[in-house]
Amino acid sequence: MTRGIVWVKVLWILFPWVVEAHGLDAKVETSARAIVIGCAYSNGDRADAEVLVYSPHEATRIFQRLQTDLRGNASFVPDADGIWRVVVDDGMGHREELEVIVEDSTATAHGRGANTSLRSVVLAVLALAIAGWWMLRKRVNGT
Amino acid sequence: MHVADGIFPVTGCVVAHLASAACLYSTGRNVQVPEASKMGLVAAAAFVVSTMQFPVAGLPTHLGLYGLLGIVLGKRAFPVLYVCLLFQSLLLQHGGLLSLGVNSLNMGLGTGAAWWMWKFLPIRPALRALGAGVIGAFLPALMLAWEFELADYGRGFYVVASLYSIVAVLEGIVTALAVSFLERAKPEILVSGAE
Repeated sequence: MTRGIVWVKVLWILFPWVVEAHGLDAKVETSARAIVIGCAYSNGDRADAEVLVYSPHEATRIFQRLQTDLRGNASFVPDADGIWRVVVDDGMGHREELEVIVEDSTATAHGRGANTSLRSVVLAVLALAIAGWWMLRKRVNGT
Repeated sequence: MHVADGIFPVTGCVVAHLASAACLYSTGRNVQVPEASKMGLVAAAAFVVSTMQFPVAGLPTHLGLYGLLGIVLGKRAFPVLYVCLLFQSLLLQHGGLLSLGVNSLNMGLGTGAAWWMWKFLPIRPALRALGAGVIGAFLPALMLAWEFELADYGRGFYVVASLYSIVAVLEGIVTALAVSFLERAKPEILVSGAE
């Protein structure tokens, strides 16, 4: 029995990868390419949200699934240039989509989807004004 | 209590848009001039209130005055609600243009139920207003939670429903206070336009 244990220890020393096949290595790296997504509600409160990252080459397959930290941040390291799609979702009906453009280790981002443009507001006001005028014109003329 | 774009499938959103357009037509036709001014005032009030956010369990929420809309406007609450939701989606990022149909139907159900409760429930006005305010917000919350379940999305039926039940109670209290004030200051405004 004792001899068996000794042999196992000898093997462990000589061939450590055999007995550590299920080990997990972790190393620390700092990367200038890391992109941090800050998630907050419009009132400034940090959002507890899931962040899905899609690479430029695989539009439907999730490249990375993240959860925001206590400060509402989540980060990923892109491995290719192009337009990365990031979907932030809090699971309560709030959702935002971002496009992160990565070019030569620099990234720029812009939102899409629910974001407002002045043109859409002006168009909505015009449409409502015309609809209101149309609905009420006969009655105003009749009185 | 709004659903953002991209959560429900496009087909469902289009169907909801068509259904809400039908509701818009049936509840918005033959609007008289005096009604239009009342609708405009209530729409402005509801929109302003919706900009005031407060956190509930870490989630920013706001009142919508769905119960009060039903009590004051009756069936005319739906067009007003629709316009409010449109501007909320454009200016405040509450919901989205694609999900406007779903949101208007959900909350329209609340205003309709509130109107029905206010008009037909034989109990004291203060309790009726409280109940109308609660049901006006809680019914859309239940619809939302159920739709999330159908879409296999979100944190689960009970989380969504219980969180918004807190908002519904606040809605009920605010509605009861507003109705109490209106009964003393201008009681004729509470006569629903749905007769």
